[in-house]
Amino acid sequence: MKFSFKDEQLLFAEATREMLRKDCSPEAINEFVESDSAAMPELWNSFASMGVLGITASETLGGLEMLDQDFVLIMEELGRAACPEPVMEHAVLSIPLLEECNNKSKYTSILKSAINGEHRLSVALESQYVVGADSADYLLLFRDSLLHLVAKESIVLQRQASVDSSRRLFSVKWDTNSGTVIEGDSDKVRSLIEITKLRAEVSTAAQCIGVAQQLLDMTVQYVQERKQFGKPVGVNQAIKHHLADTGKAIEFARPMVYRAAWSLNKGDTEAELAAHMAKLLASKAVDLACKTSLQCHGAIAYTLEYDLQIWLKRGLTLSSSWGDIYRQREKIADCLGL
Amino acid sequence: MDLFFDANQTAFRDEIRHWINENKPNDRWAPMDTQLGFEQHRTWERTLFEAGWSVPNWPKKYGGRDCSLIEWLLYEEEYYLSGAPGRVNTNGISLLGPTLFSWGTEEQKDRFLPKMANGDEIWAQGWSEPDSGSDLASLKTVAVRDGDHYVINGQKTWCSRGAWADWIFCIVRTDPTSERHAGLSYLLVPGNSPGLIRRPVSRLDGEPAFAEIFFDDCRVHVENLLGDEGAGWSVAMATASSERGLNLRAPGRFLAAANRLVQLYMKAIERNPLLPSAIRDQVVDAYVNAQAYRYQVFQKATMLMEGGTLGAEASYMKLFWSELDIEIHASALRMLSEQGELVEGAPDAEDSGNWMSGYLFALAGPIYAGTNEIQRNIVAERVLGLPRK
Repeated sequence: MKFSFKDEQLLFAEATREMLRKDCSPEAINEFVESDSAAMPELWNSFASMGVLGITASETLGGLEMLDQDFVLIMEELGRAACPEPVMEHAVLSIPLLEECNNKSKYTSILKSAINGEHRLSVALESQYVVGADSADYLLLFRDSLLHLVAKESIVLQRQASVDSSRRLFSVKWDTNSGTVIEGDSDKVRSLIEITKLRAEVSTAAQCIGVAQQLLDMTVQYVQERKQFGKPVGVNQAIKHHLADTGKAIEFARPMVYRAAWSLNKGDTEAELAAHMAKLLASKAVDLACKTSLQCHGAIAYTLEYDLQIWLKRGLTLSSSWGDIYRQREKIADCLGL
Repeated sequence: MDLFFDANQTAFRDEIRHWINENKPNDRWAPMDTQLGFEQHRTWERTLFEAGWSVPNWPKKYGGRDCSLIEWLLYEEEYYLSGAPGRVNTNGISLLGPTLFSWGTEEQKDRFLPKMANGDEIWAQGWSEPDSGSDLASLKTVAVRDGDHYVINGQKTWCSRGAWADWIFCIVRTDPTSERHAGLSYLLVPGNSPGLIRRPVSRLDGEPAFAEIFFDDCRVHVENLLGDEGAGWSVAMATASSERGLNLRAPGRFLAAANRLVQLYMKAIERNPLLPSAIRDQVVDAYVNAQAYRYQVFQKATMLMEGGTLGAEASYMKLFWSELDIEIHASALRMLSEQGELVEGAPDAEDSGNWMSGYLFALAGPIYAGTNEIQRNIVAERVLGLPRK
């Protein structure tokens, strides 16, 4: 038992954080939202050149072949920066699905171009909205127990405006004949979907932790600067206790997220339970962070002029994404046989 | 990162599991917070000691087996899963023990640790006073030097098992002119000292587990001073860190309780399939939180084994385990509904009323070891960096 990250894992996360600080600043996010463009090309290129787009891909294709425990910290950084680009959908969900399907040799060129960032992928399992569908060149879509790869030309997109306008959601319409079946074995499809959902839960949980930490950090900063009654509002115990509780929720969710990431690739018999628990606790942590950070800021955070709103909305949406607290409890109860 | 236990750790866990299931007493003893139960539980301390299982994480020379922190956590898990009796000398082993390792002289360690480990000397904590609870540094009990002795006058309160304990570790004011944190000293006081009077106080659960302790010219030899005269606050902070962090409340205790809660739910839903689904949600939350505490502690243990130190974040741990303990027991009581209020002796009491007694015990958690309000202040000021004033 050794529960700590290796230096290279920490360094990669730190480099990602530095890059995001530069290329994914709140100004850049606000500009992206105002321009209503489909993507942030400069940011995307930075991800590509760092290798982030190929974190899961095989080394033979030019990827980094990382395990979930290697990139969980990168997912956390995506949340900390409220990154609008669908990196998880592309790199953590779509690429492994494409690589693990039986016909993968046919898709080598798509995979290579996905790893270097030329092509963008996104994914929808079951009946979700597709994040970043309007910038994607290909979508991986699930229908009638089969997994399809569908090119953007064959898809009719309908924008579904999200409260988080930096999250571009779409419903997709497509003709089954227009796609290519990439995996026709329905048992294999089922197991691929199961593992993909678990990975999505864990990576989304990590993003929730990043969002929650950023909300807390911004609030800790603000309550020291904001003065009322002649002293910083942060001297008041009511404020201190809100923020201590938020810190506690983050502190205790985080190891569960790391543990779940580790479990996904290690033949841990509790991998499924671990993923569900991680997302439950991360959702709870980010819910609390949203609530206390808004309250401790007061009216200023209830505006679009103040950047906290970026993370408040991301927290709100990620908390429910891939399993809100009620659905997670159901899944956990099933795992425990309750 | 490798979250599997290695072969040594697994063998260690199997060894304690086997031993404890073979050796735990079969009789149901009186609660250790009664005079009878106190002495019954002392015999168990001796049994554990003789097999080398009283203080496995201590050095061999003091009766331990030098096990690693991870192994100790596994020991705690197996201990609580087995349902073996509670440790009547927890205040000694988990609080004063680590403090002695940090602050004791070689003579003091040789003198006190082995008898602490074998149950010959059971310890109580004498810190709070009638007018000094959260504001501990305002304490007024004085100990004035007189030759080779200190002469103590004052009063301590809420001393768990203090009415029968063999020794009491106290914080006293050795400089009567001092104020606040200065001028305090950490003194180890024999329970049978002349001038020491003890009065048991019944706790919320009815057990006479608290004691008020009155010092009336009570003389204690200076060799029982732990740390320097006047350094009592620093020594006390070492104890407090054990109290809040993982020494006092390792995850095993809560993991075992959460497992019992899951079992209780399975029984309850079989009897009554219409149990409200909110109860299942509470069971899930309690289970998940117990797991969260476990992995938090494994992460902290790794950090400590890699040479790190645990500072004010220990207050996060104290907040978490004290609230978790209540959550687990409160969920069980809601599940049991009207049966939940039944206590030991009631014919229909589930598990001898242990859920209610556990709940009453858990209610003290947010109060002792520094109230949770104080812990939140510590977290806010020393972990997050909010201003004190």
